[in-house]
Amino acid sequence: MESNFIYKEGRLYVILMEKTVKKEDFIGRDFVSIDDFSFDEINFVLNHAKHIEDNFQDYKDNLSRKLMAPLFFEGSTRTNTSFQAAMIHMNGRILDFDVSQSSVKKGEILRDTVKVIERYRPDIMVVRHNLDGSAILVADSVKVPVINAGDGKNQHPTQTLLDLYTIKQIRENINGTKIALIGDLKYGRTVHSLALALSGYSDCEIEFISPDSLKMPAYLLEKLKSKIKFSEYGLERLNNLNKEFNIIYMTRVQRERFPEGPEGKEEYDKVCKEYHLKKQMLKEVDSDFKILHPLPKVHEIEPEIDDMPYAYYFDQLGNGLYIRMALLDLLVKK
Amino acid sequence: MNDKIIGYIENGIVIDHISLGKVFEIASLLDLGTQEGRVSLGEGYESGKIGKKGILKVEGMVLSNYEINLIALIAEHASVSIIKEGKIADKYRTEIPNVLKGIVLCPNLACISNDVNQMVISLINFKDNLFKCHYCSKEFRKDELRLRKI
Repeated sequence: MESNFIYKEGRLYVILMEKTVKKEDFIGRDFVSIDDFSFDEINFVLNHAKHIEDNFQDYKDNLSRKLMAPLFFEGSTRTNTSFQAAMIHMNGRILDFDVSQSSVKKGEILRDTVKVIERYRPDIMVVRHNLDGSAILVADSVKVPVINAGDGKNQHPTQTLLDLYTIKQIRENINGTKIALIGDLKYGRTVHSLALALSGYSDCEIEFISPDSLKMPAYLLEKLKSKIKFSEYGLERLNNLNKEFNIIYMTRVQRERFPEGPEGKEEYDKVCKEYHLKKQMLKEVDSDFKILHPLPKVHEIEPEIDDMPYAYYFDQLGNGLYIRMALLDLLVKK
Repeated sequence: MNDKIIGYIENGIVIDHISLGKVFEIASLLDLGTQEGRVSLGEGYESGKIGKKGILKVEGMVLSNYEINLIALIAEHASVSIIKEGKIADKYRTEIPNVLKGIVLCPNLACISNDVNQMVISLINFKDNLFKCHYCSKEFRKDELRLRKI
């Protein structure tokens, strides 16, 4: 809240106003968690990304001579490529940092590595690392802004932004979205962040659909219960998809989430058999129904669905470009 | 029962109002077995405030901030008296600090603060009876704490 003071007829009035988010508010800030931005700031980023998408050429020199250090200590194809493309589309430059050739292999600690890279004067760092909390450690260690491109199983906040952007693109308004989050809800960081982010909007409803062993963690349901309407179902719910749903968001179920040995394999195979979206399951859905997936998908969606108008996951992935362009444009000091 | 029977000290510390069953845990964490001064400890004393309590007296000991924070985590609201020349020179209640640096380990084993190669000192924030790791942002309860013993 911002406040304004008016002195009128011998009285002092204090007027409380919603803070207006400005572009300058973002300069030099880190984005390591979705909580780093307020609700209004998140919406500002989404609108900025939309402006970039609609006026792409206007941004072609926005990061001219600016340098991004992509520090991908863990393999990433899509996120890394999308950040690099975002930088190049705004005429920025990219520091070539290959972790396989770096001192990390010699046992250098992360804090030292990023402090060394900082001496080469990048304007922003983008970090992916396999350990939870690594992005905050990097942000604490350097003065340049840091974007978290995924820290272990913890946060992947740019994915959350692109998911929100995609929902807004599909429905024009995030408020009132009825969405089903499906698959690995226990370990999937994208569905956790998305559910929390959606709870900030009004009149949204979530159905959590998962095998018993991969249900949404209780602590997250506790956090959500006073903020958003939700219900839980087993995978059989996939046979009842109807016009009530605007969007379903599917996630990959990974073999390593199940116990080792034959019992674990049996359970995994059973889930794979049940967790398979087929063309025939979509007979009753609305014409503007959409399917999202953070990708990569494996066997959870029948390949024929890719060609149906409901499949929106490749557009969703493409939206990562506008979101990352928006973030780089806002955080980098010009 | 009168707590005086567990020994008079001239200089040192008295930790009183320790929750029942926690005296030996504190003695172990403070490594009192290696103390040169006389150590007296007792359990099951009557207390008007907490029912039954434990008491610990150590001759010649000075507590560091780290040790005070450890005591607070095990027995919140215990009282610590500093004894000088047979008299109470100072007395205070232990309270869990808002920030615990290097005292408690994050229970999330995948957290960077638990990776020995990264040499990160744990940093845990305490608020509203919940502990939250500064790095991985995981929240946890007191019973999930893992104390880092020096």
